[in-house]
Amino acid sequence: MKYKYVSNEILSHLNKMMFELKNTSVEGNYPGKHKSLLVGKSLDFIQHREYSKGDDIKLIDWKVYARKEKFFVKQYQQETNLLAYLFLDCSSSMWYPKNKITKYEYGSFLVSYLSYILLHQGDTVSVIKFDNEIKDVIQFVSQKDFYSKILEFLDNEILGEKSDYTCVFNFIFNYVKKRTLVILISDLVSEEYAKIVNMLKQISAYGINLVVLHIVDESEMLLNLGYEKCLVEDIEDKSLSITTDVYEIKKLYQKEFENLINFYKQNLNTNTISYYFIDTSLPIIQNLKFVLEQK
Amino acid sequence: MIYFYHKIWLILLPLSILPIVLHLLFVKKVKRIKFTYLFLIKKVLNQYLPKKRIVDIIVVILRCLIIFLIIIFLSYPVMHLSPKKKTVDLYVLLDNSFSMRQKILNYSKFEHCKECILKLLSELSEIGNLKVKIILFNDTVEVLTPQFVSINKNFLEQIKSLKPSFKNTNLVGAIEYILTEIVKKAEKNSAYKILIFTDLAEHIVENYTLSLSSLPINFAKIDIGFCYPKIEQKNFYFNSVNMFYDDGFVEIKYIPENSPENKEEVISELSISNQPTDIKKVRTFELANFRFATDISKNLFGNLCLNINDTLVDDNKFYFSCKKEKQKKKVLCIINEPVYLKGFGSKKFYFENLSFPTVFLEIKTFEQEEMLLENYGAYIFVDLPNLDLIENVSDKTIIIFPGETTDIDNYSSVLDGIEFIELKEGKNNVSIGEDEEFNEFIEKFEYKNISVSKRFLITITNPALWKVLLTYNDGTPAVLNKNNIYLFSFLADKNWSNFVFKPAFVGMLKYIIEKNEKKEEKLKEYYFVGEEIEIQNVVSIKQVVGENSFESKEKYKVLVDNKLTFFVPGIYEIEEENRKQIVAININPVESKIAIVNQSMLKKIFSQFKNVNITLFDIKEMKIKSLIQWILGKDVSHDIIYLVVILFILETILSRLGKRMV
Repeated sequence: MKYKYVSNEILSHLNKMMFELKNTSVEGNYPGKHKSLLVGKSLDFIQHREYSKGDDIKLIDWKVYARKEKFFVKQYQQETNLLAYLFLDCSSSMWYPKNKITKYEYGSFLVSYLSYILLHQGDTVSVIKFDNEIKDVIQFVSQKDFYSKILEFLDNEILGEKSDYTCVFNFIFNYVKKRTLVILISDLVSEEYAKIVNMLKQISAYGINLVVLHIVDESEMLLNLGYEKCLVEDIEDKSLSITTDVYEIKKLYQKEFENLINFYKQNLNTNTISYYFIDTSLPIIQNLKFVLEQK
Repeated sequence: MIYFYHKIWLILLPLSILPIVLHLLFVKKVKRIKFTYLFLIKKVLNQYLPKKRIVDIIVVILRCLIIFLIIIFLSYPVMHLSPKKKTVDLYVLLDNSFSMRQKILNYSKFEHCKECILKLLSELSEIGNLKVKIILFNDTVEVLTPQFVSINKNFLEQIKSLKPSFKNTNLVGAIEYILTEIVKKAEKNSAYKILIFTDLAEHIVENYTLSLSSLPINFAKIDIGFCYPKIEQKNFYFNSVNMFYDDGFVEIKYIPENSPENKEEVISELSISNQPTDIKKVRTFELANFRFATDISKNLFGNLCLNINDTLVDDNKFYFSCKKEKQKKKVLCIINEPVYLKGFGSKKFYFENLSFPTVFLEIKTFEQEEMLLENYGAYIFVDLPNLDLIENVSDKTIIIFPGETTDIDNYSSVLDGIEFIELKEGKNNVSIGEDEEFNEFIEKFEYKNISVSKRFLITITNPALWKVLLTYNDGTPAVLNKNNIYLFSFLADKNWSNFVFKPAFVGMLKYIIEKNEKKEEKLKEYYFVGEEIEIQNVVSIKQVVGENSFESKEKYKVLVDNKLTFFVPGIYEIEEENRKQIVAININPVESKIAIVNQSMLKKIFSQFKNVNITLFDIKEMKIKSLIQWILGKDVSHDIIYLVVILFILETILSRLGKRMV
């Protein structure tokens, strides 16, 4: 296969997988598999409504009439397709670690396979790469035949700079319709993590179905740097560095990291936001299954 | 003020800041690693870093201190004495007695001591406030430097040229001399250092506790350091030897002893006519015997030796001779032995067996003088102070050896016809226990008559009464005879002060008396010599006494410049072109290697003095640094080690604490 971020073996597994948004409605351009806010033709019964002039007589529920001697019509929820925006963080922190698969590469695989699933079930996918600005965008792709376009887009790797989620925020408010799906694939590395959470909450409040895939490398969790004492430089800002005995602070660091994850989990698990912790040491398919099952 | 013995180590002092340098290097040259969640690391560090940093700084300082102190320890620091005392006065006493000639490891004890003193003084020459007074001692005291002097080159050269004498040792006398000088100074609350270089032979120190205890030196603090060549071997000697002749068999019964006293096995060897005859293991303090068949119609020489590996010739060997004669002569030997000569265990056996088995000899001390003198046929008096006894037995053979304690006036009155002239020594040669001024110790000193520097020249004032049997090689009389009295004057020659205890002397004694009693045979000219004699055209040399002696080596050698050197002691008949002379040869003996330091005995001498500290140094180890520490003051090296240990523990605790803070 000529594309980097795809594997036939995994694709064969993905054919059986579905990405569904439970208990939420979306607004799509075409009929699809997701619940729409609109009432229309569908198998999913919602409610009865008193008959009014102009209603199709076929919709009258005669059983209710027999009980209540009034005309009621059945209403069905219209199903629509899903508009999914996949935001892939390409900031320099995503290009960590250097000695094995980077978070960016792992995230690119996730974008690739999620896009495949969504396209496969008839949804529309748009992929946006960002660091402190929107770097590249692939507009709506709605047919699985165009999956290759996404792969091409992913193959065009971008090594970004320091991440800034404001650009994502602005993009969503300016260009993204309400009741669409936004999947944010990022390592969420920022000292201002509370600000990130606030922004994501605002996006959610705006009416976006937000899925956050927090990609973390094992060494980031455990602080396994391979050296006892070292000068630790910030990967995004080289002017920041600190000398420390890694072994000394390891336990405290792990505790702090756990607190950070718990903070994200507590604040980003609402009706409209879903937070997933993605450990890059696990196989991609395992993480993907976990995300889809939880949804 | 601190003095450093190994100054070379001080160049390592800059290494003390090594921990700081390493710390800084570690900060700058650690592995650089790029990481994402740096803000989390910062957050962690901010929680404990300020405290940790303080602890780290303390740990680094402690490490610097530890290295600093270790370097200081290696450079061997010596803290000076109390700063109130401006100068340190050091007495150095060097034993130059005969026993110091004994060789240990190719050098004599004296050379060892001298080298140690030179090394020590060279090291101390840098110390400006140190003054030294060197005193040589044997049985007398010779002050090398009358005043305390600073150490300089000439001074060291003077020490280099020193040589041991042939005299005996009076260690306690030398100590008394110093203490007397200190008492004279009477500087209250002062501190004195006395360093004594000696071999510390055991016989020197015994029985002196009382004599020193009366010294009023309690006003000063006195440190006495004994520097001696420590020898681990034990001293073996005979307590008693009895010989019996019975029907062609000779039986020797003896009790071997050792010092320090400890029952143990020792090899005992019997040699007859220089041939090892029997050997057996015996236990000390237990009666042992050898029995052998012999024909004593011939001269028989032999010796009994304990611990044959020892080079001892005095204490561990007992010489005997047997000659059958028709009549037995009963001889009384009265020995008034100077106390400081006690310990030469076997010398009395020379007297006891003067002419074994024909002479029956009883040994008595002067205190036992109330014996019936008429029971004996002859008398030998060694250093008999009271010659009244002689008057009562004028018909018997009397052999007198004036000793170092001899009262000349007493001798002169009894032995009329001769005059004792006391030989004067040099100015610095001061008799032990004596001084120009009166001192109260002499009064209390038990042996106040001992003046070991006293040497006599005996001259005949009435030639009709006295005749000279033997002369020294300078012509001075050595043995005089008046009727039945034989007067030996061996003290005129310094080098012969121990001759009376040598096997050659016994032979000499017998030879002279025998010749003198046989009136028909004219006496030949006799000479006492050392190891060398001048001769002219030697015809023959014959050993007349001491034949069949135990030395198989070459006995003499004729040197080119008309000199004859002897290697074996004995009586020799030397026939020259124009004359025939008999010479008695005394060879400087190889003394016992076993000069024993009995520390408890040594300390017992000073047990009465609470203000006297005794320290022992083994000069074989040449621990000059410990000597310097002893002289200059406090040994701070131990304190440093304790401090290093404490700092190390503190450093360990703090570095652990630093890690636990995380």
